[in-house]
Amino acid sequence: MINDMMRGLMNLIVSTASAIGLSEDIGQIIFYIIIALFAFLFVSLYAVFGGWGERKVIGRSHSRLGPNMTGPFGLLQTVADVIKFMTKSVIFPKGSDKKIFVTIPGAMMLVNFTALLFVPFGSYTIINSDYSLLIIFALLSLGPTLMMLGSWASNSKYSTLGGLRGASLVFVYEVLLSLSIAGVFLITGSFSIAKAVQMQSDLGLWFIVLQPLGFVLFLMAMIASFERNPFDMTEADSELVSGWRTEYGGIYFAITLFAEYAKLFIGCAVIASVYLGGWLGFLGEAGFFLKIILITILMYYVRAASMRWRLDHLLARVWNFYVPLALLNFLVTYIVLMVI
Amino acid sequence: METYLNMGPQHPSMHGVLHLKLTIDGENIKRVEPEIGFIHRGIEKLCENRMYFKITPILNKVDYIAAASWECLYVSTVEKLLNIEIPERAKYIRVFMLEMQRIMSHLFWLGTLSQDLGQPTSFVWAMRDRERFLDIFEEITGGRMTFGYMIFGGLKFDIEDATFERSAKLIDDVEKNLKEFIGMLSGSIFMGRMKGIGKITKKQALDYGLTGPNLRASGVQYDIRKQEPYLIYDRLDFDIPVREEGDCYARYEIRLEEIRQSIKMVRQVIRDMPKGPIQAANSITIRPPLALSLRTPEHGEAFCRQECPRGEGAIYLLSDGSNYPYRMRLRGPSFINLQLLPEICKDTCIADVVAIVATLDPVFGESDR
Repeated sequence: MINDMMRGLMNLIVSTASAIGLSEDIGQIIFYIIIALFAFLFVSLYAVFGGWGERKVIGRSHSRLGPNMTGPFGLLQTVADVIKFMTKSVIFPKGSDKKIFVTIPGAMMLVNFTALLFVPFGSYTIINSDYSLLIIFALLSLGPTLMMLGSWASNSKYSTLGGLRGASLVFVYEVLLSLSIAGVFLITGSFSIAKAVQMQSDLGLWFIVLQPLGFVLFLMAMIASFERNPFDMTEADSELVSGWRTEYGGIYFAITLFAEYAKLFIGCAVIASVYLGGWLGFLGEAGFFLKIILITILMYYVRAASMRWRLDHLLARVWNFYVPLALLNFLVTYIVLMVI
Repeated sequence: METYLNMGPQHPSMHGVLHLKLTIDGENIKRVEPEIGFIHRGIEKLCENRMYFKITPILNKVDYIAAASWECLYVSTVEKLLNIEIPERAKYIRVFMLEMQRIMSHLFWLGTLSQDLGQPTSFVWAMRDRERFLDIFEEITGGRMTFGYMIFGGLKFDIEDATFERSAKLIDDVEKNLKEFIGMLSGSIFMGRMKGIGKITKKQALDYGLTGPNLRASGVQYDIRKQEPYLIYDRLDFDIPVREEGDCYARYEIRLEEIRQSIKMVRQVIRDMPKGPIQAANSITIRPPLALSLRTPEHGEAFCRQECPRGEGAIYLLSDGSNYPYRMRLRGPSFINLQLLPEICKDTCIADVVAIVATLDPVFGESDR
């Protein structure tokens, strides 16, 4: 449905553009600018209400109320926070590399929004590619590099330690991320999200049923790549103050948070489409967004219930236990597919 | 490459104002140098310039997490000096206050521990339960954290039966909620961060003069409540939990078990609570004419020690017969427990230091005084 709407919009804009004497290319560019604004708005809404929902869920699990003063049910709390962040002055630490320091939050956002091009919004994907999952993973794996740069530019020891932890965390989730989803690649024979969704619809079975182990491992790796609890050692507040973003304040801090929510949206959309049937089947496209919301809430509960890993314990556990499990999952899938 | 890292005094994890000077090599700790004294208020000296009854509020601020224990300790010391025997009901109520305070203090510790391990949920749960204790203390004494409730020779006010009933219900709830806490604070992440971390051997513990739960976690069965029973502890049925391992997990288990033992004690106290007066015949209340007349025997001295939630607290009081103490010396368990920090933090990592400091359970009002 969204796909048809978007195609209709594109035709409308292109035809209007040619009617007033502009070439078709300019019409398409205008269309993509509008789409970009839509995507930005959409992710902003997700961040604002996701932030509110996160506080509400965490608050309830803490047996607190969560935000309830700003607007109805405290819905505008995040908006108020954004305004607060914008009005704060930014402090540059002594000896920091200013250029890199101010570029990093924007670069993070840029990378995550680039990944958003390949993420389905319902049935519509801005760029349809057969390699969309690979491209998304590649772009997400840029995150730690930027984090390290940002922490290095901060010229603070807490930040540097947080950045180094982020670099080590790559070894936790990168391998796991691709190994655990490899089963799906084998089944669909493609790296495309759309194909995975189509296949689930054809089979009448979600891949969470066919790949339960793969799903759990993928979910874990995704949470690790978001650096959320229990993998939040990069910003471990009780150890490193605020980890790699200790020195980021005001609007730059807000942008890093925003980039994080964009990343969260990407992850939830990938999980919802690859493992939970996507936009075909249950409730159609509304079901897809419902699934995204439910997975997001699951992430909140994981955060409320978990404790921070120690990095070396985590690495040992992942390489001794989870990576072999993911390999096993891959192997079993391969053998079963061969037999069938 | 070794570098130097400041942790504290303004750091989200530190329980108050501990400043740790860490020498680190990557994540590994090479050397730790704790620096204390940021809230040194000179309490011992302040006490020399106060009349006896005016000292109680100051002693409340020594250990602000467990104010009743130091209040009781001070009042008992003066009573020892003056040879005042307090009535039965007052003794029971004091033990009631002390044990309620111990539960509350350990709950606070449980919360801060989980906060330090990156689990704010049980922190807020602990605060939620603690709040109900504060309500009960407020109902009894008028103060939430610092009371000024005990006077030489007894107590200021009596406690109504309804309060005891509410306390009984509260400790039932706490006992039930402890299971939730254990559910949250278990699993492989928690065990990995607690087991075998920050090991204190029996010898180290004795050499450094550790007391309280930290000592008992290293395999020494030593608790003033059993060794030299004061008030009515000899009549109560309770156990002193001991663990042999001496690591963070042992200290965690000891404190949980102490909460259970304290709950048991509070139940017994409420059950056996006698009727009667709460002030001794020769008690000196804070009402000015009587209180001003408090003069201690010339060149008297008294030493009193009791089991505070953090270990053995002791007061040595020297009097020259005037309205003011000549000298008052406090022994705070946190100060002594902290001395071990450089030794047990060596060759651990940054995440462990946080856990170790949390399980040592220092309170800086008491260690800095």
